[in-house]
Amino acid sequence: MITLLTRDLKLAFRSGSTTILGIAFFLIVLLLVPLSLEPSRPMLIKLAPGVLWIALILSCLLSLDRIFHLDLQDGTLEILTISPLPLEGLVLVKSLAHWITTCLPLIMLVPLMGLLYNVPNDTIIWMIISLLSGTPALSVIGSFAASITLGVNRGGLLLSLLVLPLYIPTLIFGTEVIRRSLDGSSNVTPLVFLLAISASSIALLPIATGSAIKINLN
Amino acid sequence: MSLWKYTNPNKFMKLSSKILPSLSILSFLLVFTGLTWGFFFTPDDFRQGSTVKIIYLHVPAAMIAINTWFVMLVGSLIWIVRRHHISSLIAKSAAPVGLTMTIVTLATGSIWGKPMWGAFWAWDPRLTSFFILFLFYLGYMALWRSIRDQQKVADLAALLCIVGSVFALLSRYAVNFWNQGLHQGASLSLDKEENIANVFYWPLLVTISGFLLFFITVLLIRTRTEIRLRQISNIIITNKLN
Amino acid sequence: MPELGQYGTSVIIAYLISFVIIGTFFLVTLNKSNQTKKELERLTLISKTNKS
Repeated sequence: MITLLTRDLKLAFRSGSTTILGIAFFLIVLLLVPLSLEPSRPMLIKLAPGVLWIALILSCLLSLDRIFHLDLQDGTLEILTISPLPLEGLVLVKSLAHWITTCLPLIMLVPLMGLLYNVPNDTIIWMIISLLSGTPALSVIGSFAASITLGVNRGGLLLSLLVLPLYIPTLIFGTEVIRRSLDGSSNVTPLVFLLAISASSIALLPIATGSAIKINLN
Repeated sequence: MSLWKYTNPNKFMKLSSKILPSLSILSFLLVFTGLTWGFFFTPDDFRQGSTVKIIYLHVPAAMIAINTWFVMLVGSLIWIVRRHHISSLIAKSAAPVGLTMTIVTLATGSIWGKPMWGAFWAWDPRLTSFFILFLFYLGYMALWRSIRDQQKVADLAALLCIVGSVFALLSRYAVNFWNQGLHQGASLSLDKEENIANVFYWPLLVTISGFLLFFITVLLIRTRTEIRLRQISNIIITNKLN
Repeated sequence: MPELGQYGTSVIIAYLISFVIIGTFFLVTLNKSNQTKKELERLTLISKTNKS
């Protein structure tokens, strides 16, 4: 499994464009918001939790259809499904690779966003916590949607239509964690829910994702 | 257990063609009676005026919109477990009905909302949840239309419906949390089911039953169409082989 | 016609829109059903004549 992970990561770094693309897209969204709305400080702080998560979700979408695509095209996916490695494990590895290449770099950009949006320091920390707790869910849920749309030509649009409603709970709880830290109220409840969503997605969704891959390969 | 014999397409077609005429007439009668009763013979609400009459469309549509998803879920589960083609076709056929009812719920809800709240839309948890439901239906229907292999798409759609149901439930909860915090009283929601006086209740019940039968009627018609479409493609395939 | 009062227009519009949406949907369903039925009959006939 580790070899699979390192292989995936190597592949991803080689086409390092995904990470850079994700970062660029994220920054562009961060730019577009104050450009299109008012750039006043109080307004930006209010918008920050939502903008962070929306920018993150949109950036995730960019690399989701690639998760299985390359392996599907060169036949590796079929070989991997027959291998003694459980399919769910394969799915988790791929989700992890997606997370490392797409979500992690963006999490590291949060302090920069904090600067741009005038966010107080401890909220920045909560932003990072929120992302760390919620983005794993995004990768796992995203890989499920990617597995369903594997065989569809130009499946990217369908993928987005399917995955965005599934992201809603994660989005809501993720932004609540940050927003509550801004008001000063306790953000334990949304954080717990966020962690629960990530944990249960990681535990249960790969089964569905694996089935979808098998269905698509037959 | 004798219900399972209707998973045989031929038996299904026979039974459905027998009951469809009376079912559809009954459903129209009930809807007509309920709406006429509600529209002409009930008083206005002291707070909402005559807009309360919208309830006879809004509530049944909302109930059907939600229950349709359950029907799809059950159909998807039965398909995955027992592999009766009919159950996947029932799920497929139910989706457009659910979509239509969701649209009606949203439309009647906003028209009702304008005089009541002053705006056509409010990000009230109920309306928001219905908007999300609309997107779920759209996605499900889009999936069915995007893959040609019927066997594959039946399986994938069933998976989507099952996973989607979990997230739909979760979303409902999350949306309530988002707009109202946990356990806080509803500020904006028009709680239409509470405190309904008897005089409104009976015509509503009649309309709901009518809508329910209408749902079953349309579901049966659409499933029959799907079965026929399958038969058509089977004929094409076997004839090409000849 | 009952005394609809100030909200009369809203109520009428709501009813009209609902009828239009549901009615159109129902008609489309029926139409598709009829077309499929005809297509099936046509193809069954063709395949039968092919076999004979």
